[in-house]
Amino acid sequence: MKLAAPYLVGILCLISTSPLTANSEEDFWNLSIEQLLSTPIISASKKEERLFDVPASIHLINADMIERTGNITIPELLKGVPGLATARSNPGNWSITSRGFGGRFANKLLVLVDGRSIYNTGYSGVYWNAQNMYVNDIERIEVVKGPGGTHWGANAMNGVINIISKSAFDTIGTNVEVAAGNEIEHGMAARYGAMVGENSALRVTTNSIRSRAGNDGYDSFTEQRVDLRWDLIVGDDVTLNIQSGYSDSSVLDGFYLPNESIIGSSSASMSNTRGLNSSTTYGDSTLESFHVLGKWEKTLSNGTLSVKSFAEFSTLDSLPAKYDSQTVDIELLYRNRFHEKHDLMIGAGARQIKMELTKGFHNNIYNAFVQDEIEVTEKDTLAIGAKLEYFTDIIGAELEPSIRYSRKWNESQLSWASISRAIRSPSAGETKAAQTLLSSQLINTVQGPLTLITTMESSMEKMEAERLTAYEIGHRCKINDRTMIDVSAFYNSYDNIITMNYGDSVYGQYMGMMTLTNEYLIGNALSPTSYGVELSFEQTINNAILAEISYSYLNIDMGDQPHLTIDPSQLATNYSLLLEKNTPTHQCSLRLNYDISESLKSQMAYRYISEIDTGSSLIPSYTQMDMSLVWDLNEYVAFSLVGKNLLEDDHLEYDMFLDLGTISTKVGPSYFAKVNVSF
Amino acid sequence: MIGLSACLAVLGPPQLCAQNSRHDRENGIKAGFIIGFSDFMKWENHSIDTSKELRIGLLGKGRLKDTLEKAIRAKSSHKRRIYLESFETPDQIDDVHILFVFKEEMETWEDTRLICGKKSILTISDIKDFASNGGMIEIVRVGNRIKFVVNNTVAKQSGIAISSKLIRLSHGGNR
Repeated sequence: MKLAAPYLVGILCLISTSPLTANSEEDFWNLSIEQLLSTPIISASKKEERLFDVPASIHLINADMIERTGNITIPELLKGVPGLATARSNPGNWSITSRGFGGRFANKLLVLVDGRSIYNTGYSGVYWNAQNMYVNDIERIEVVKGPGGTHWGANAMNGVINIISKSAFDTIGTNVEVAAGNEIEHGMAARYGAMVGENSALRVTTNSIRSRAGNDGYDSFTEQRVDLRWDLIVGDDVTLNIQSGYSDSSVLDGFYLPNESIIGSSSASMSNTRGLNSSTTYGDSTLESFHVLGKWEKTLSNGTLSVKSFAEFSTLDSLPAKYDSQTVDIELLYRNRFHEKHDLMIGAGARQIKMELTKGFHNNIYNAFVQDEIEVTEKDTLAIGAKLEYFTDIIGAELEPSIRYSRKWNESQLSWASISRAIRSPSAGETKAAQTLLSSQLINTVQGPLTLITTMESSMEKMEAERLTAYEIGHRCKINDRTMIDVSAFYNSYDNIITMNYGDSVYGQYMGMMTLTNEYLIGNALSPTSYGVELSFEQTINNAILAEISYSYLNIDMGDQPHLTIDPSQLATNYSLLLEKNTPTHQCSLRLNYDISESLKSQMAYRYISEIDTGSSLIPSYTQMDMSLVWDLNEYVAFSLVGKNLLEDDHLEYDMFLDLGTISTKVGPSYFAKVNVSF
Repeated sequence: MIGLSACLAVLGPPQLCAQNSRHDRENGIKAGFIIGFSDFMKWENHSIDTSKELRIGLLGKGRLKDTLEKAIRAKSSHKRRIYLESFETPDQIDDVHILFVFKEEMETWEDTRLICGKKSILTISDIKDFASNGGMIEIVRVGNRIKFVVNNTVAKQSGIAISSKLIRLSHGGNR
């Protein structure tokens, strides 16, 4: 076991740009055999950088960690990341967020797969149930807590997750995996990789996951997908990567449809309706998507030049909404170390998003970005950059600048500080919602039978971007070869946070029936602030045991008064309390990796999550433990046994009542066995 | 895009990367392998404990020698010394743990193989089909990667136990 895998070439490299010469041959000698195997000969990547040297709050999940946990879904892998708030609503739906504002559609966290955004602009957020690529195809997952708007643009507000798949050169041969347990009905994956000529390799992977419906009956999900990756090298300095994938996923959703207790329109009455007066309906939400991605990279004498493009087509058919969408994106990035003290990076891109909703949603986004990393002294580095984005159809132009300073005191001490601005662009659902009928039902009240109508609409003609100014500091310290401490703190100041508010309740008549119409208004309304601390401590106890302890604290204050872009008279109540309290204040975790023998390795992961009290629902604090055991029977076959949530019978991790009324189900102990065969 | 073009014009056109860079990276990775392999081996018949002292030999000449020398300077510590020796002919090979064979020395490979077998020396080379010709570890380029192929049968015959983990990591054994 090694302290923190040392090299990164994905998103983290963009946060800081130390000299390309840092990637000299000396660096290879500190790599493990596994790392050497995945090191490209032609390094057309923008940058390779030691994890220790990255001036940001970061965490890395590498292939060894993935194998050790035995997990077969990406949300389960993210569960162990210090400071990341992950909570399961049901096996297919998750709230995954960084630094607050959780929810099924946690909309301030950008997620990328090999640089392709899987952030859904229809509702803002990620459909986690439709992102389960075969985990053994993943080389690593980079998690950045904090804004990344300067490099990644809109929606990289509170964090960025980049899932990086293995090169096809690293997956030659055949691999088959089968998993089954009390909750996972089956997990089946098959992969075949082969060299195509001397300089290219191709991989095809299929993956199928199906979870059982629990006692509540709402929580099954399935996903079938096929992924293809082709890597090739051209000459001595060009790499080409082409990927494509098709996914068909389905999650059985339950939705609460509010009824008569909304009369009076207060959040308190909403809380009282839960499970008592509200009615429930459920059905399959399906998402079918296809994507293709191409990336061309050329290594230059003093830098790199790359062009990346992707297109994605998807169809969502869910209880609250249906739409077809297509996204086409192209990005160009040029890096040049034109002076011994300046590492310049410039880029430009364009993205077109089209969605067929009740009202069509078309948005073209154009961007340009520049960053210079200046080596101020031998120890001090200053990175200044900005991205300008122009959203043609919704919010216009937005600037996302950042300034990041770091001091490397010596080989074992790094301090850093940054000020960044990031934005979130309103989703199609937020900007185009208008008179959307969510439910229509007959209810009995003391006034007699009423037909209940619920509408949701955008409260303004033009919505503005959510904006964040973030202040961060951090320090990383390697006490010795076996001990590392990483601490960071932040203060976030938001503006224009979009929220949904209960509007008027209006009695009326429709076709001779008495009706009650409840309005929801969506608009920029809040200016919250937040602050927090993230701490992790990693200790290699001996050659067989590694321990990692982490703690994170988060405090969000949504502010006293809503922004005046919404008529205050319409704000019978708002969601500010719910946004403020939907992420735990305290999170602690302990992870123990124990290599019992050369062929038998294990992991125990404890976590404590403090209570979530949104005012309308209470999720008590809980402590949970996951365990895994991986036995390499021989060079071809490995068995895994995985137990999850072993300390309590059942518990709620999150209440997604507010996320379109999605029903959350309790999380109970689960286990599964897995066999993996390579040949 | 206009801004980008302007910057490109100011900074000058992209230049081809020197081929040396690629070879340097290849040699760096190979050197990392050669030193790193020792952590996955047990020399059952060797008198020198590799946790305290590792002896690496080179048969022939090549640019990898310079890279290995630098690597060894960087990796040697008071806990474990690493020594590098060069041999011109097979009969010069002494009690090293690892021997890297350069391409030009394939003509004398049969002699080398016999000597290394008797002395329990791990043989490594990047010569094509080295492993299938009685070598223990063959370093191969697989597209944009450097991998290795293990001939565990020959290693066992020489009293070298290669860990199953390394065998799993070898080319074709990717999980």
